[in-house]
Amino acid sequence: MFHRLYPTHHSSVTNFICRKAVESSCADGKGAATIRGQQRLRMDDPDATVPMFKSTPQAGAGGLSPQEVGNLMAVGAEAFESRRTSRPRAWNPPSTEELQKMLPQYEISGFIARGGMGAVYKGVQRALDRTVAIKILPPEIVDDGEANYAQRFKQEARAMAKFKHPGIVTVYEAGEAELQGQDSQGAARQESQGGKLLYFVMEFIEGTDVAQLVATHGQLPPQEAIRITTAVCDALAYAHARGVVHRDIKPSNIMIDADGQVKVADFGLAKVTAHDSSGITRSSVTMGTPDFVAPEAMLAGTLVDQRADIYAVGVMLYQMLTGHIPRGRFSPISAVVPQSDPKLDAIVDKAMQTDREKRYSSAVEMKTEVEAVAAPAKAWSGDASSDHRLAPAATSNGVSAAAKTRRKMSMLVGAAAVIVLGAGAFWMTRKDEEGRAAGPAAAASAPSAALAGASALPSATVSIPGLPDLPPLAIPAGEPGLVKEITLAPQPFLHRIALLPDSRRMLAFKGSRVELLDLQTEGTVWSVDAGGDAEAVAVSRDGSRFAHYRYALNRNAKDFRPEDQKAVITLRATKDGSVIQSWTVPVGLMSVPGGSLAMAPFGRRLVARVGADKSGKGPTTFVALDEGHAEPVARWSVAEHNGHMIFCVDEDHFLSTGNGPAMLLTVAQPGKAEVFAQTGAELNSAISPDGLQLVTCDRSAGMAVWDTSTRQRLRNLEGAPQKADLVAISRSGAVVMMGDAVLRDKNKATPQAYSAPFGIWDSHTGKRLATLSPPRAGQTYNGSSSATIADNSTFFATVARYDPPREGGGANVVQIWRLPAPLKPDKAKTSAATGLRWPHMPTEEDRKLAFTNTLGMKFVPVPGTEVLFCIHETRKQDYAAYAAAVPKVDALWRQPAFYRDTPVSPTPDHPVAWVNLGDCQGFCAWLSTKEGRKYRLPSDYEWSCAVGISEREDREALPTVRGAVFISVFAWGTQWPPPKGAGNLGDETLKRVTGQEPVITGYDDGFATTAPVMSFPPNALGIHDLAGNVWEFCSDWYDSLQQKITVRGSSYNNGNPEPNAAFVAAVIRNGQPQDRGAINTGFRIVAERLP
Amino acid sequence: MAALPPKGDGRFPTTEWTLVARLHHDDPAVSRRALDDLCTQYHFPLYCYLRRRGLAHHDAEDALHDFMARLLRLDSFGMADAEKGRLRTFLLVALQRYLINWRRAALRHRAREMSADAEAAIAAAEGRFQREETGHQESPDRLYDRQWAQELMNLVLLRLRAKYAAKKKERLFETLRPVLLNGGSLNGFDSTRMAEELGMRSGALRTALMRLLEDYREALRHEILQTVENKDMAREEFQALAVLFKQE
Repeated sequence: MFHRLYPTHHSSVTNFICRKAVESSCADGKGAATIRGQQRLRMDDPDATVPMFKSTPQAGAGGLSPQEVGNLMAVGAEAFESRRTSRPRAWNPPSTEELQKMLPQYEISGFIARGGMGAVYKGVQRALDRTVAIKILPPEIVDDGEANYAQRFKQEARAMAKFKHPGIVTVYEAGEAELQGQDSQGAARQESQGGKLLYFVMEFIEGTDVAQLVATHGQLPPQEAIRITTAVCDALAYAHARGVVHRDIKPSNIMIDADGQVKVADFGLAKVTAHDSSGITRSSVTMGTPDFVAPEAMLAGTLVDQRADIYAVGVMLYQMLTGHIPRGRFSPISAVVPQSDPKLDAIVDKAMQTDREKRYSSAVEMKTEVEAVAAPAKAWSGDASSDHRLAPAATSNGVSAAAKTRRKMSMLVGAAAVIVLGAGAFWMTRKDEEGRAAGPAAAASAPSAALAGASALPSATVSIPGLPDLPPLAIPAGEPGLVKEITLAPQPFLHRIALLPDSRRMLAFKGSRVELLDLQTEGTVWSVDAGGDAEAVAVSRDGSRFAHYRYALNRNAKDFRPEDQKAVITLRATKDGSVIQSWTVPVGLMSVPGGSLAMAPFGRRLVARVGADKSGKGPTTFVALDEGHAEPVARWSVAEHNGHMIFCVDEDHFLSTGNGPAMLLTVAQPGKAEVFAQTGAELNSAISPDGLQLVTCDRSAGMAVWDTSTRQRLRNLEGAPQKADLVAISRSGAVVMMGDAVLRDKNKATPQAYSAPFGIWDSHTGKRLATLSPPRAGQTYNGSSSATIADNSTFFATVARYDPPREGGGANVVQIWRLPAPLKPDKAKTSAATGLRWPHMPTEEDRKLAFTNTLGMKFVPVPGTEVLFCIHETRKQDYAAYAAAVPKVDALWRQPAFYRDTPVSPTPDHPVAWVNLGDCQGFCAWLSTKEGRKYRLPSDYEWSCAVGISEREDREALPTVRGAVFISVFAWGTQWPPPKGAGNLGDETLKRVTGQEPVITGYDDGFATTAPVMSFPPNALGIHDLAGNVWEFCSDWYDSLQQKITVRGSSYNNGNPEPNAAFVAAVIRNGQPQDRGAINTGFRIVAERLP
Repeated sequence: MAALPPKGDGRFPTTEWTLVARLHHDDPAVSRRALDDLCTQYHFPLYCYLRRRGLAHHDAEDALHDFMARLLRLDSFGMADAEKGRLRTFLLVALQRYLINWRRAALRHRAREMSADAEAAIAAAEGRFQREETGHQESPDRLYDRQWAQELMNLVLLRLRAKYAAKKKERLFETLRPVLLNGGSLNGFDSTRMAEELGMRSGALRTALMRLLEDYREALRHEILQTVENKDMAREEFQALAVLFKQE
């Protein structure tokens, strides 16, 4: 069966067809004649296209299509005694029974479709028992007195019948059929051309057409588009050589049969219907699909030649490749489909020249060039809804860190998604082979300056991959307040914005378009069609990509079911707005208020909240999407949570807050979510970039700052209005809020209340720093719907709408507000500075258990555990004893090792490195046998007991989860920067000797790489090197997939001016593949208590 | 809906709006009922406006609820500047002004001032909005107007059907309804068969159709007059809406 022809809801053609009829029928209002036997189109025909006048299926009240409303308007016009607007009637094709009577030599088996130029039926030619398609032309097409319309039609049909080409639908027969018409009761003359219908019979094609392909797939694979184009050119060349121009090349006329053979249909028809006998375009004709019609063919009086067909092929080629019809100044194919061959742009360009002299002069010429286009280098990566799967994107910083020693983990968060996921001050650390933290260099230094009380934030340039480097928006110094306004066109209206991490460029969602704006120059960098209003937006850490989320509903479904509806999450490149990937996820209708998105800090992972139970009471569903996967990679439902915001904690964890408790979701364990904190019942929350603080709006208690590690409420923001909307927290700790403001305008009797950026608080102290006054008096300021904060903490941007629009049409306005200078946290009050804790210090009894073993390793008790810890990391000399005693121990540990050309563990008193889990366990087993007591690796929990943070940890959680929440507590206490003697960390010596950056600025432990064990003072329990030197294996799996073992304690090459980026906090875990060692990883053993 | 004497309170425009007059009738039962009617009849265009303005759907729902409730209580919208005379524009302007002061409310338990039907209607609005909404470039105002027109026509047809049902002529209405929706001409319809099915002669069918068209026009007039002050304004209102649906 034919698939449905591309539904032509273009009223222009059919209306034209009928217009003549209407005008000639004189609205005498006496009803209409009927044609006996002619029924209106059967609505129950399963193969019927949706006729123009069928009501859109409705689940609720109403049910009128715009068409019907228009008809009703027309009928109703008389009610107000205005002139009746002439509404053209549509032509209703005959029923199959009726047609059967007209064409007895065929057995009409069914109505297939109704297209722009008539109706098509399926039948069997009785004489030859051959399946055919019969196309009926409406008789009203031509009624301008031109003689011999039927004659010309037959001539064309004869010419076409002579065509024999595999790429052209064969015509078998054509003619006129008598309508069985009969007037009744003096009604008005039926509009018809002497009661005849014109028909022609053609080859029946079982398959689809290009219009349907494009409607289904959006973009076609380039090879396929090229193949189709080539075949069409071939067919055209054949026809042109015989003097026939098609004149109506368009996707719905290009059939593809079941074998994939391309067949061009409806040759020559347009010549009959739309042109006079000399082929000149009539003045009164409306062509079917203007997008495909060559410019010269639109002009009445033009002699159309084969180049008009070429134009149409060019349009179609573009559409097949990009999914869009090229209109106006359209983007080149290579901009829409990044991997496409640039030659295609040139071909389309040449084919679509307005001046036909500049086009290809022949189809052969065009075909040759199309064929010459090479296959694209990469596999097609189109819409994920197709069957094509992307290969997993190569992740330079993904989880598969085969050669990497460990993974960086940082507290990376996203701001409110109901507003926008802006670019807070995020730590991006690109992992590299040596585990060096390399982030935006300037960005890294700033917050430490803030925290350490330095005076100014540097505004260095941040690079965004794919975009030219530009300095951030220049904000002159001054008090917090409005700096400037950027006026955008009032239409389409601006509803969402998001700053890029360069604090210079900004995404703007206007209507269904998305644009990138340069805030300094106020120019538009690019603008693309986003396919629909963005419900939520997220920008990746490095600014190279952004994602947005919109509903994609199947509006044509006969039975609309909410369960079937989908949302589309699209990932685009910020450099040009092109689509990287999109995912279609099911969404429970009416249950996602704006959705929410967050983008993971590393790799290419997106988390989106996509739906909840329809009643709004059931679980909320989140999905995690990885670039390269067509399906979500993780999906979990959280009960009793109406969270709107999703913050990235790290790649495996997302924090969702909203109504009710804040929930921590673990991607590694989809389905599992734990209550992070009982936050307030409001919708707005934000996490501070250093991860220490969560700020929420709590109806009962006001705006509050929480400690993310202890999950305690720290302080309220003083004087914050209960009804304020939280916007974001800057890197420097400034909390921006939208709130009520009242404008007293002397021109108005009553004060106008409106929503505006209201105030800025210091999250460290809770004090209000500034109240932002409204920008303009005398205007009704209609609030802001979107806000985003700059990475460099100098400004934030909001959207304002002026109502009424200002002169010049400025309804959409982007406002830039200055933030206060970097804030100094009140150290006495900051966060989780409660230090290390043990349940108790070792008792006398405990201390008696301390011992030294045969290798000279000393062990001490650790309260909270049943083991004794070796006070140092296993040394090379210890391990050497094992290797000497046990054959076939891997000798990797013994070989000279270098980190950045600097020796590591050169002498036996240094910790052993380059051992894997098995080596450690082997050592323990050997030692246990040797000494008759059980030695083993510590558990992750035991290690926490040793370092003094066990009491604040959840014993049941995975190490990866426990390590997710940053607590600024270190093995030496809470001081930052580390005091002298804190441990062997990534210090100035490391930098000086090896050049590694960043390091803990100003800290020097004297060792570039490893230090002999116990070089630094021990902790309160007498244990050394819990901070630094080498990472230490524990016995627990790191993740739920059990591919990595937990390692603790960080090493000599971890360092950063910022505490939470230095990777040296006591809470920090990493995962080491269990079968591998590393140049900075060793181990420490524990001894179980003797019974 | 019988016309009740309008109650002006100085702030509210005094017009012949039957619906609005009922809205602030002294008898709370009357006014509540009127609000219900208003909500069920015209909430959808307002909802569309809110959504297109950028409110997420829960927010739109809340705002609409609250707005309707205030309407009932006749909270001031700064009506000194209100466009008099047309419910359609009055509501829109009122909603716009309301939005200025609107705050997202996290209250889970709103004071329910509407009937369950009206609430259900608003709850269903999002689904309908997503299904129907087209034309991303349309401004909220235009979308509102267009939806208003559709709601108007829905109402007209409902009233028409009710009227025919009262006359025990549902079948006739159902049979001729598609003709009406098609523009009122029997062309393309098998009127002979239609007449047969109804047990009428063809001529009688044609007459009935004419009658139906006139009934429709009257229902249309009536419905529009609910929302404007006088016949002149009714014509303007009709034309303003018709222009949104003009076909080429």
